[in-house]
Amino acid sequence: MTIAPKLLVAMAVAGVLVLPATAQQSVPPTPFDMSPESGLRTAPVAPAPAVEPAPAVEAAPATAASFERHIVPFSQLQLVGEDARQAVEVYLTQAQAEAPASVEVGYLNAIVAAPEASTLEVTINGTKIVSGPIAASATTGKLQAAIPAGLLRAGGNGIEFEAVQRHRTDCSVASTYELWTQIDPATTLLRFEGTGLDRVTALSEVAAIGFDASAVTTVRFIVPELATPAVTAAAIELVQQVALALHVPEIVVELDDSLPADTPVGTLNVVLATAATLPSGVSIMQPQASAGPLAAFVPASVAGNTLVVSGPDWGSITTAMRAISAASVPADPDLLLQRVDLANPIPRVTGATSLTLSDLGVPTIEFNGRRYRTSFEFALPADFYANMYGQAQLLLDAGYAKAVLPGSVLDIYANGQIASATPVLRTDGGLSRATPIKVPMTNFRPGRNEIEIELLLQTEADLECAPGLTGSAPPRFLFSNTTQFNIPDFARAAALPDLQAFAGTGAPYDGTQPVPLVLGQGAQVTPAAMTWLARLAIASGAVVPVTLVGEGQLDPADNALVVSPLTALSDALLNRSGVARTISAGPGATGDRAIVDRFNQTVGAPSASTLDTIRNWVADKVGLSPQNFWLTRPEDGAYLPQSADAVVLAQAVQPEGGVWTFLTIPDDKTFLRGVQRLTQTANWRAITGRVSALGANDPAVIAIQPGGRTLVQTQPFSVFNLRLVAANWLSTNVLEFTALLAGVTLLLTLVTAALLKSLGRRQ
Amino acid sequence: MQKPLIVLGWLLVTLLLVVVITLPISLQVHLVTAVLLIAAMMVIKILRLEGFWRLLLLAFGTAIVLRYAFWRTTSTLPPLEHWGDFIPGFLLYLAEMYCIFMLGLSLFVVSSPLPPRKSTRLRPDDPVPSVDVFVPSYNEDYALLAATLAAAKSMDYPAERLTVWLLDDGGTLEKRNSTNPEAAAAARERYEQLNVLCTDLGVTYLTRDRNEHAKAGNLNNGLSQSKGDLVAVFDADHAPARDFLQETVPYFGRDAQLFLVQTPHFFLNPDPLERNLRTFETMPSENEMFYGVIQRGLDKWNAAFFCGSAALLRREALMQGDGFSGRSITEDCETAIELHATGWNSIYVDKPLIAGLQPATFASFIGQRTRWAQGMMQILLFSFPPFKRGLTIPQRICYLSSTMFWLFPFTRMIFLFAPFCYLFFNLEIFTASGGEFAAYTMTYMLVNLVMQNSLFGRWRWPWISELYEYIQSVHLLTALLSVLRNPSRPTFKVTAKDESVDQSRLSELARPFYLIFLLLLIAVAMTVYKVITEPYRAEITIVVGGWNVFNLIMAGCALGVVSERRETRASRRVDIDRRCEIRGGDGAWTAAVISDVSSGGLAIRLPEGAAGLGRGAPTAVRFTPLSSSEPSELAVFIRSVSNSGKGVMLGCRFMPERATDYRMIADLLYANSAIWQERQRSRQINIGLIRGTLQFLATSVYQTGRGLGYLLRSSVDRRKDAEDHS
Repeated sequence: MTIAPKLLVAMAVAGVLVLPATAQQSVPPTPFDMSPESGLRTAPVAPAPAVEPAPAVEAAPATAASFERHIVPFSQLQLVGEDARQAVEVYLTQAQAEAPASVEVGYLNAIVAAPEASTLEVTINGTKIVSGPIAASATTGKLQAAIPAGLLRAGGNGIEFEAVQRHRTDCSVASTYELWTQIDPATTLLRFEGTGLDRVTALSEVAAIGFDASAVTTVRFIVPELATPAVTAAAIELVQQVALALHVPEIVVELDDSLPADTPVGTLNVVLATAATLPSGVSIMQPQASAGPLAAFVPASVAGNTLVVSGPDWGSITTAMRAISAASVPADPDLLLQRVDLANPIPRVTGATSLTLSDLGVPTIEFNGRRYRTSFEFALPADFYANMYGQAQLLLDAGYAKAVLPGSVLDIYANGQIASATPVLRTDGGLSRATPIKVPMTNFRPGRNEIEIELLLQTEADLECAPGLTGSAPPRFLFSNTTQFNIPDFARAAALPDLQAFAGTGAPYDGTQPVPLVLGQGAQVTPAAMTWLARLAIASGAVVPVTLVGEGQLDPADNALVVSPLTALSDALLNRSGVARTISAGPGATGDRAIVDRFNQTVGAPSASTLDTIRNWVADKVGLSPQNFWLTRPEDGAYLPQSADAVVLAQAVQPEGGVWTFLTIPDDKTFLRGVQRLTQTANWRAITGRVSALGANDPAVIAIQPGGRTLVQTQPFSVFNLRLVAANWLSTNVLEFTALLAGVTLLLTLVTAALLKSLGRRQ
Repeated sequence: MQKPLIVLGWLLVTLLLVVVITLPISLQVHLVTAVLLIAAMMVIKILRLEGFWRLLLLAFGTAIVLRYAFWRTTSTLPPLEHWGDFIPGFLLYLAEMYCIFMLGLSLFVVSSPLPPRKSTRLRPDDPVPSVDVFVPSYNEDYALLAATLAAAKSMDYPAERLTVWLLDDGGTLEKRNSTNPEAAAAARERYEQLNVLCTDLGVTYLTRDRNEHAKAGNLNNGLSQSKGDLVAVFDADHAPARDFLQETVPYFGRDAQLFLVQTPHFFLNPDPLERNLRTFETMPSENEMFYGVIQRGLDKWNAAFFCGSAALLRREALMQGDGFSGRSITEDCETAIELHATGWNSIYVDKPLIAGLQPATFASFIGQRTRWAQGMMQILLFSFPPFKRGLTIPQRICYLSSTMFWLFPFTRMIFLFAPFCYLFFNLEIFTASGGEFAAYTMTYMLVNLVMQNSLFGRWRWPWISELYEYIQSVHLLTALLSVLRNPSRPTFKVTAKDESVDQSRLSELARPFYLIFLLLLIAVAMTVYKVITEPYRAEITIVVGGWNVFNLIMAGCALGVVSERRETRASRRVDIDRRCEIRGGDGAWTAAVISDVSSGGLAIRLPEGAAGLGRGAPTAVRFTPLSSSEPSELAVFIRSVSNSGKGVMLGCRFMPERATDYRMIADLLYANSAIWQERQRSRQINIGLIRGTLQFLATSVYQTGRGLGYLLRSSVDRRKDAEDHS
């Protein structure tokens, strides 16, 4: 018996070479993937899995001779401009990597793109696989090519789509925005030849589950004892582990009672149960589960891709769950965990850092268009507190041809907001090194940050715009990826409440200890909480363990999480949340005063005093908000949800010191859908302030900023950090700085007057 | 006991201020804060609040200036890699930091200037020290020396305790035996004439064998030949008032460690700028800032220094060292620093007690300033004040301020040429956006103006300092560079004071000013061109172009300064009202009033008609000098007769023949120092920033025109000359 698996593996290897169709079927269902977690105690030799190998072969579903794997992790992907790129990461199983594969790209492009000058290109793991003219403005076009053997590898594979597009007739910068190519997620895929290639068999390959044609990853949980709080907590922890292991931005969580018959592409079934309560569909795993901790995929014969996490008791299940966490340990602790939608390295920046763009996936490029755009990303810690004063610096290495007219502009965007616009003044033809460009850190945020560099080039030739110029213009601009982005040492402190830091990094729930979680009454509360916390884990890059507690057990001095429909919240808890039960007429209202104010604003009633008018005018002139000129902090009114189906995320600092984050909704019935929508990347990144709410019909998240924030120390005390924190706080509170400076100066004057009296001659 | 505590407290609060100022707060916050603080400064200024409030104004200003300095240091320097930008950028940065440093030093110096001391007299029971009065001379003419010596001799002091010495370096043995026979003859003639004059006036004539160590050597020779307790030094053109010794000697009795009582230099004639811009009667003179507030500030820190003349010194102190120090060419300041370093004290009496002459031409003005600048630079190099042992810390700061001030030609020239880097060469030497420029640089400049005005407004009108610095910088720059190349090379050159400009002409040093003006004009054209052709950076072009226009305004004004106006009279009239008698045509004495006097003559008002006197008639005036009770006669020559409402005015010229005539003239001109003070006070008005700026602009426009007119005329003249010759 003990030698049987080895023998079969040898057969399998031979089979791959000779008889692919049967070879896959003869691979034994791996009972347990031990590779990632060495400490995991497992049943040494599983007797059960090999019990019925023969029926398994027969019972195997009729797998197609080829397997299609969707590779665009976005509901839509549009490449806009003259040189647009998008890199994605595709995770493959060992079997997939070894199988003959080809790539197919379905796309549609703007009619104004000149086919003779526009190219779509696909690169896999740095090797150009296919390119073709962009010429599919009427019907979906197709690019396809075989992938050379050996190029794909098990685990992550980088795929990059690059569209070089030129306008048919127009040479203006404005026309470049009309150039687009849409990559169709449904028809853009990797096709593997062979059978059984859809199977994920090892824990380390969980990410190969991928997503469906609309880029959705669904995780179905089958947890028989979910009603037990400890089990709920375990399920919540498990969903986070699975989400991290999947390397996807967000997941759709479904709860099922039993194993569904059908498991579509992009879906993972997870069974969480003790050996005794394992559902019938996976009873085949029972012997192993009874023997010890188990975290393994069921054999193909039993069901679709199904992960069973089990053990004789809950203690051993906890042990088993660790094996899954091990599958998502980032390769490089200085980088963010890679995801299907984040293919390029994203360094974690915690202090003064100099980033070289070549390390961040930015290519050196010679460019002959008129609008060049590139971008890169980095991550800031949760306690980044330098948005009001700090300046980063881009040291640009770039060359301009003589044809480039001074007056071309280099714009830098931080997280989509313009951060600096620098006229290009020197176009003497050579490569100019390390030209410093200041980038205010105003729109930098905790978590992932995107910096875009956009160069708008002006040339005499473009003004004349001779026919055919767009395709044939000589190179005008060289962007070198030796360009550096320097981030200075920045202030580090938490300014709470701060949902942006929460959404970006999971702060202040850092996973070091279990967070008390209150789940309110409601059918959708548990899946909503699981969806939400899975997204949180993805944001923070680590599991945030929870302990389920009742409302009464909450300690206001401790951090906590609350998931509950508004109706199920007690008045006491509601008071602490900063949210009201009343639904307001319009968006973004807080408290009764706010409604009155908004009304006044709408009808143009004069509500402000002269002082307010001056303050607002000054604030407007210097580019600050009136809040920066407040000397007192107004109380935050309770937020009135804008609609019954509005998911409200609210964070409140309790007077006792705890930071409580609430996920709630007026109408329980739309809770899960609402949370699913809120966790979608675009919405999730819009979360900020003390309240962020998204109704079913809202086009975007509505965010309410707090009147005041509580500063919390996060770093060991240092004078240096304190100085920077003070700089940011005083940059936020303008008049306080004036008062401080004037006060110290006054003090100096007093001492100087005394000094002058006691020193030197008097008369 | 309390003092160290206060010093410690001050240091702590200063540290706190530095911490607050160096917080890297945002631009907006700085702007709002700066505007609010400037508003507070304006309120203090408009209400004319003094004392504590003045200090508060200065402190607010300092805070903003330091914030500017912090920002300038941390975020405006071009990257080192772009050395073409970096080098000029760093020079400009250094120049600005120098200005801020100097502002800091002068804030310390004038933090609380001592109020003018009460007028004093020797009391009957006070000891009466013996006084030697030294009048060093090199080439000054007979009349000038006669007037000064006569005035010195007439000082109110017991005659037996007063010896006046003419220390003549123009009649040394070396000069009399010069190999040049003409020079030797002139020296011999001078020697003989002055000997006679001295005998007549009761003054001791002293010369020496060789002209060694210039003025310091001459004074030391005087020291070696005399033995008075105190030594007064008057330049040959500095005639003392009668009360000079009364106002100064008593201090030596009160402080045994006192080595110096310095008094201000008051001038009867305008300097070239004052004459050519016609500001002498209305605007405070250039040196009034130094004597009116800086010396008083130095006095607070026991650092008032010897200015070569108009001072009384203690022989014991001088002899303890080697007399007057002669290593540098500003022996005065050097002597003071040496004596301060050995524990002696100085005081400053803020009352004009001598009247002197300014250099009349621009060239001699520059010559004088060259000596000062080079000498002060030598002191900075030879005895670097911050590390000068024996000085107190305040004294070190004061001397650093006094000597480093003379580095201004470097910064002026950098400020002048910096805009060209951008306008002509497209260099980016100051990396800042328009917003940053507005928030930091504009507020800094405004604060600077307000501070300067509040510190010195009574003594210095807006932009006048800049103008004086500019007109000197053009020629001083090379002089300073030569000191830096070879610190012991410069030699003492005596400033000519007796010149006059008898016809309107361009100064011989005018050429560079016109060249610079032309360059600035081209840069203005370049600005316009750039604004039109490069609209994408019009903002920065306008800022730099505006700076260039400021330079142009300054340079235009300077054209007026180097266009020398004709002026025959060496010194201006001083109004006095003195009863006198004049000998009429019939020989009878008629009562009259002397209404004003200058060094050349006087005006007499006859209430009852001309008494038979007409133009061209020689006659005599009789009045009682302040120094005696007997009336004496003074020979005059009538140059003009005019009728005024109150009688007849006679314009008379002195016809001095005997030594007593000089004594009489000196009595009229110099005896009463109260008049001089009156005259200074009448000009010392703070006209404020706005009026001052407008006035300066108007002056500049007019002077630019006048300067260009002179240029045109002089080129026409030259062409005519050329034609005449050919």
